[in-house]
Amino acid sequence: MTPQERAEGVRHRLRDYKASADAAIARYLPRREPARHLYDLVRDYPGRGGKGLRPSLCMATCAAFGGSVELAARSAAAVEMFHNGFLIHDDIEDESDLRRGRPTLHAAHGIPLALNAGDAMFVLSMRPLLENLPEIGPGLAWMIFAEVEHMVRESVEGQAIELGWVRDNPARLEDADYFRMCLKKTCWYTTMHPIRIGALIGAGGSVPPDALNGFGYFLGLAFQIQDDLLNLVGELHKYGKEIGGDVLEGKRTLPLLHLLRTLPPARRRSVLRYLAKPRRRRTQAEMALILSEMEDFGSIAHARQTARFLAGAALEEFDQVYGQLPQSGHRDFLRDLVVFMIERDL
Amino acid sequence: MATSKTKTAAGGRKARSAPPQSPPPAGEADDSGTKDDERLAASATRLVGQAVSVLERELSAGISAARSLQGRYTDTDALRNRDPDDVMQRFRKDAHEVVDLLMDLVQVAASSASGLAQRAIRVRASSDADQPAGGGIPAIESLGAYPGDTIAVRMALENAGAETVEAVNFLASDLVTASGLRIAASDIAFTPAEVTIGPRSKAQVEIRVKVPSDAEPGVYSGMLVASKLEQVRAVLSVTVEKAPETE
Repeated sequence: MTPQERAEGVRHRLRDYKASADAAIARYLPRREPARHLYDLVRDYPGRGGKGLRPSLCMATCAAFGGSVELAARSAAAVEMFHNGFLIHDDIEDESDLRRGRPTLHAAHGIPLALNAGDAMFVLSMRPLLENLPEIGPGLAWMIFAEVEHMVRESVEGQAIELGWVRDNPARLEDADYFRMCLKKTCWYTTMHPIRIGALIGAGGSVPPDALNGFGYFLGLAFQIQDDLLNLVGELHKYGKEIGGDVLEGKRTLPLLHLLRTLPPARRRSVLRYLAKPRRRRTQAEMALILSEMEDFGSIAHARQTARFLAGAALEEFDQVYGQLPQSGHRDFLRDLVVFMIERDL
Repeated sequence: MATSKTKTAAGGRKARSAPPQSPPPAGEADDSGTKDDERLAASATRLVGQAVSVLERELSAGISAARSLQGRYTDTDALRNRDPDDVMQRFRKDAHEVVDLLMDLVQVAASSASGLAQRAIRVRASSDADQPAGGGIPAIESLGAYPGDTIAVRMALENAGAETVEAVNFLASDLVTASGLRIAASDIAFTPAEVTIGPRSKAQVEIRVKVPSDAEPGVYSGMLVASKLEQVRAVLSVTVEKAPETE
């Protein structure tokens, strides 16, 4: 099978899993009043067609471990709904203008209504977890609830670390600092918990979920680094957010940390001054200069290479942990996803 | 976890980042000889090793606590197929299960601290109502005893406060088994009978339990309390084993 065929296979499966998750999510997003000020907003982001990575990981893992896509659908829906709630609030916190190629929710409706829609999304995500009870039993339902609680707590802690960096402008951060922030902000809720939840449900609680942490972690790091790269060097029409937006927002991404460690002192100080300014006063010209320096000083290459190393580590973890499972399309999807993650352009 | 293998390969915990260098863009590395290959491998090992140590430190702090709670369920393959009718019934009983869990955790903590007497019980002079109890109720367990034995368990006490704790003595309740068998409180003695502990110092009290010669095998548990110190409580458990056959 060629790499292109593999990638096409992954895309195909992502679409299938996402369709199942979307159907589950639709059951939990009310169509009633107040529509114009709340539920229309709540349904906006889920309808914009993301990749559905989180529910796909959850449902594929469940099926690979002997369950079914359907059995994990509620939990997958809950995770994806939390994700959409985070996106609404993230866009406000980051002052972002675009999300999946269209104005962000607060850009379109104002901050108060957008904030409230995010709150609503969090509350609505509880319902599928409650309704897990008759489907998977109280013991598992409780474990999944505990998983989600940990997932959300880690995410807000990671978000706090990142926002704190943007505000306090630390002069020097190492790659390990980035990995820690990324573990908390991204990995737990994008990959690790969806995988853990899927395995718990699929194996009926008989698989220790910690055994799957390594795979999810490496996959999540590779995913986030690729996401950061696309933000810097991607194409707007595919990526759907502002190119260079992370630089304008002052986000501490792997390439930026590398650049700050590598630039000559005078130039480094001037980048730090740029990062100390409020976002609205950072200019496009300054941003473009930083982007070109990231190319020139090898920061982009460093991040690309790191993503590849981590993808390699993820494959090794996969073979160790999933290698014992019976062959299935779900299992192959999870393995092919690793390479897809760092090759994708959207 | 399989990551530990990777970590070992990385050569120990969190090495500081090597001085920044511009790695060759991937794809160009293939044709530049063994040296570059080695540098590439070293770079991969270092970065992945850093990532692993970050994960492991975070994990040891958080998830392991959650797992000790979840451990109660991990072998129950049939959970998924449970009769939905008893589901709501079970959830109504949740309050009881929470109590069970807390007791379990206390016992896990106590039995994992190999020397049972090493777990000091905190005391302080004033019964400061704002002071949280902290750490739950300590459990003191004896190893197995035979009927007719007198066993001794040491209890460590620590006064973390700035005032002397004066003339405390101890009381025990009857020790009972789940089936209602009993060792009377009068068979439990404390040496010394009264103890005074200076500020920021420790003391030891020996608990002696005389197991009646007609005691049936079982785990006998009861409460210990300290006079004047309401916040000092401990659970005492004595395991009585069947006496060996005598010839």
